Amino acid sequence: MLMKKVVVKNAAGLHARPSSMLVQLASKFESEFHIHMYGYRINAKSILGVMTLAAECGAELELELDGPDEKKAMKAIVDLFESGFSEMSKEKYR
Amino acid sequence: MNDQIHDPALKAGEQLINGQAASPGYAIGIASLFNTSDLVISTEPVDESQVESEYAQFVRARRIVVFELRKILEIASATDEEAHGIIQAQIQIAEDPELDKSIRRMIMERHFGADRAVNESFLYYIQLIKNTGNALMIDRIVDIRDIRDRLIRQIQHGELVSGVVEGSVVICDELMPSDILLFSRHKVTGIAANEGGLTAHATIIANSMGIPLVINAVGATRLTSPGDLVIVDGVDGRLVVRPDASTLESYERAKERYALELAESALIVELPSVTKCGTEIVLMANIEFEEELDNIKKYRARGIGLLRTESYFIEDEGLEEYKSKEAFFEKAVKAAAPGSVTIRLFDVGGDKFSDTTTKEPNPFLGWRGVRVLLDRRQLLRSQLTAIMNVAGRNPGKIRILVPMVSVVEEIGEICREVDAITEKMRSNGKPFDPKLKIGTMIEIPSAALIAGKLAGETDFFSVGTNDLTQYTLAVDRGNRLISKLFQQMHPAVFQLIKKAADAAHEKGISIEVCGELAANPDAALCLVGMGITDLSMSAASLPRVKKAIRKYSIAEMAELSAMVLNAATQDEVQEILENWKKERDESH
Repeated sequence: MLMKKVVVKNAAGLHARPSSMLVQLASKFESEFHIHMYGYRINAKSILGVMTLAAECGAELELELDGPDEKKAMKAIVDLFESGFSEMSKEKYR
Repeated sequence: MNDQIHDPALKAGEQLINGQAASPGYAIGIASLFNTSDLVISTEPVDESQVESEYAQFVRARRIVVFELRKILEIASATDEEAHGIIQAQIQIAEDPELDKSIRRMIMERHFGADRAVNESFLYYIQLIKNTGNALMIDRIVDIRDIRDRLIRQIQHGELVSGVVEGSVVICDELMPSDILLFSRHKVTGIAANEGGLTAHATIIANSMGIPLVINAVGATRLTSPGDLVIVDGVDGRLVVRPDASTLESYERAKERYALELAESALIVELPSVTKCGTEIVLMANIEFEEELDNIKKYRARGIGLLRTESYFIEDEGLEEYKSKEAFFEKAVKAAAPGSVTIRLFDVGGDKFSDTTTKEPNPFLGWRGVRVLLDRRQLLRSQLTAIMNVAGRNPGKIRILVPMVSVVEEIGEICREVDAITEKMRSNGKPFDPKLKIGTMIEIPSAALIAGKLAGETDFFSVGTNDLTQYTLAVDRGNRLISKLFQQMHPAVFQLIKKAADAAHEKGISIEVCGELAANPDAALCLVGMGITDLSMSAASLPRVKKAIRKYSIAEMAELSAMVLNAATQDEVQEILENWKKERDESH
């Protein structure tokens, strides 16, 4: 199991579209993916769960990955957060 | 007792409801109610033995909802990133693993009905999102509710259909094309609907399946109880609820007479389709569903003059069929042999597709037919590829028809796409049809007026009379306020058809009429009189049209059409027709 803290960088926060991109990316990996925030732990392959976090810009989240491809998954997901979701074209994550 | 206190007349004794005849025939039977406007969330607990099948209902509903969304995604503008993003997110919501867990738990452990489990699971998430106070998220609740409603509608729809008793008469508020197919599988003998339109898709299908249908029978669902004896009179457009003995008797006689007439038309089916002077008139069938293919043989149609392809898009039972559209085209080719199959490219838009993400103020004058195809090249190419693969295996048996052409450039652009695919097939060593014919729908007045120019760019014309009427008279065919103005036999419509026919004859290309106008025997006489010898219509109409054209010679019909083209009004057209027929029938 891997844990890593990330900060939401994009101005609008983790709204519907970034949530959708995150779930889409996470679903490509076999590993289980959870997010810890404000003491909650949600299944991050559930878009409704991610949306209920309503993480705003500057919010700190902890990513938890557990599974055979956890390393690869963590790198891809952290990259997505680092990029601020903005310039990711949907083609890239289709 | 209770009923009598409310309204003694309401649910007792004979009730006659006047509507509109939409598909001919009589049905006498027990009523099943199919009322989609009264849907409420079920509160009854589900029996332990039923929980698995209840959950399966949700899974089925989800599969259909996701399928529909993917189709919408396919045609949603590739450049409209926002719409794309929203639909993509909606698909993820429908497939959300936590949502699935929650719904499954509610059904399995708390014995909720599938609709209630969906409703409560969504409520939970919607409440949580509201609690965040995040305005951006709260704005998205509308998209979440949309998914919830789609799922619940699908679940309840399935229940409604399974509630339809085999062999009964269905009383409903309105009809979807897919409903009719489901009804026909339940061997429904007749249908009456509170609402509907004569040219609506569902009506056309009811005709093709030979199910008597009355539409605009206002109050039908309110005045009928399940189990009532009812009569659907698809000849005069009436619904009789709980008929008296004498009414029942006279309708039983009418039903017998009608069956005799049908038997007579069965004899006509066997006769050759020639005019009195011996000219062959090619009568073909309009087809949309696999279920209709048997009609080709039954009514001796000479091929398929119009194969509609939109149902891959809107018919929810067609999930698997969508993947195998090539298989459907192959079946159509077999059924049409030795005739050919004219496949109309995806004619989406207007009344046929209400779920686009782009809202248009004037959809009938907007983004439809070839306009959509040229903007969505991927959709166009995938359709062309499927058609051309089948054409390659059956050379000479398939023709392509392009809908909603209003300017010459559109047809040129389609031809270029076809050429590119042909080139690809050639270099891949795949069989292709080197003489594949590409036709133009004449359904917009501009296309009829420049038919001479279009004829140089295309292999054949096919006149779509519903849309041609709509655009010529500027009458929305779905608008009841002006339904009197929807005059398919207006002289202006005939003049435009004549213009296209003359251009086709002059340039040596073929022309046919594939609209419902051809199914009207009187109109068919006028069309043949203009030199149009190929007609395509719903197969069930073929015998009566054949019966009409066999009575007269080409010269006689040409005389008739010359008079009709000169008329000022539709009433005058009808008068000319009546007088002309009377004169002939007396002298014969």
